[in-house]
Amino acid sequence: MAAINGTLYGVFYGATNKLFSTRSASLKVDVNLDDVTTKDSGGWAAHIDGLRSWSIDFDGVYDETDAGATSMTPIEILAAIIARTADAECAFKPDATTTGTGWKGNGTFKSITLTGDMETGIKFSGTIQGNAPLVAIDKT
Amino acid sequence: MSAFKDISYDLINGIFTVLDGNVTYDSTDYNVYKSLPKAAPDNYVHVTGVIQTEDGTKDDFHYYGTVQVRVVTDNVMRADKKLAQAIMNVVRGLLKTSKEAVFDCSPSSLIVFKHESFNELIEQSDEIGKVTLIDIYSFLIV
Repeated sequence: MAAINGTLYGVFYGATNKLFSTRSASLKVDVNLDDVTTKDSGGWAAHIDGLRSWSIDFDGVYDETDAGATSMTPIEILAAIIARTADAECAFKPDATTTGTGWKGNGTFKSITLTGDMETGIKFSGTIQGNAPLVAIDKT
Repeated sequence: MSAFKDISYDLINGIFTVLDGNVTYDSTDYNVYKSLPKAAPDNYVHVTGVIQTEDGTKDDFHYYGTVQVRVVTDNVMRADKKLAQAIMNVVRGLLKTSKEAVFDCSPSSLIVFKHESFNELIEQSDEIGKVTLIDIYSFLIV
């Protein structure tokens, strides 16, 4: 089994808009496990599957020089949040030239934070909140 | 995006361009070197010692590290630091004209240039009383 370089995996918003200048991205998938423990559970906790949800957290170094049609900068993300832009297909997947499993589903930008610390590059971080089922995809 | 590269020369040359011909104290001009000549004068400024690491994003390379600006003076009577400190003061004022100032390092782009630490070296013998003041600056270049 071969390890996979995380650099190859990006976050995409819309069909092709890759979030530009990221350093890290994390796909998180949750399911609520509702407690159904009773006196008859023999002293063991029991649960049933509840609501599922997913989100993608990302962070990077602020760079506004690449505002091309195939990438998405923090400026555009911030504008999308302010405009309450409708959800779009989001993906956590390798770029088009790399094989590997990815995941996609409709999502909305939930937040973005820009941090300008002294004597260092401006950083940004944010979250995409899933708004529909998440499905596995192969490569694209 | 650009390919991985060595930014040492761009940075050293950028510092040299800022300092060369401008390091003047008490009506005396002091030479600035990117590489030392075999017969260097007693008092000079030497830009050297770039240590760099790449820690960029998924889309581009960013170069972090440190560079040394050395002020060297040689007084045969004693290792007096006064002249070296005065020259260092001039050098600092040229390199950081304001808190946010950065100079041209083309073709690379200097984003952050910050004073990191300071050190000194004193060598004494019957023939020399050499003082070396070393300013270490950190940088971010893209």
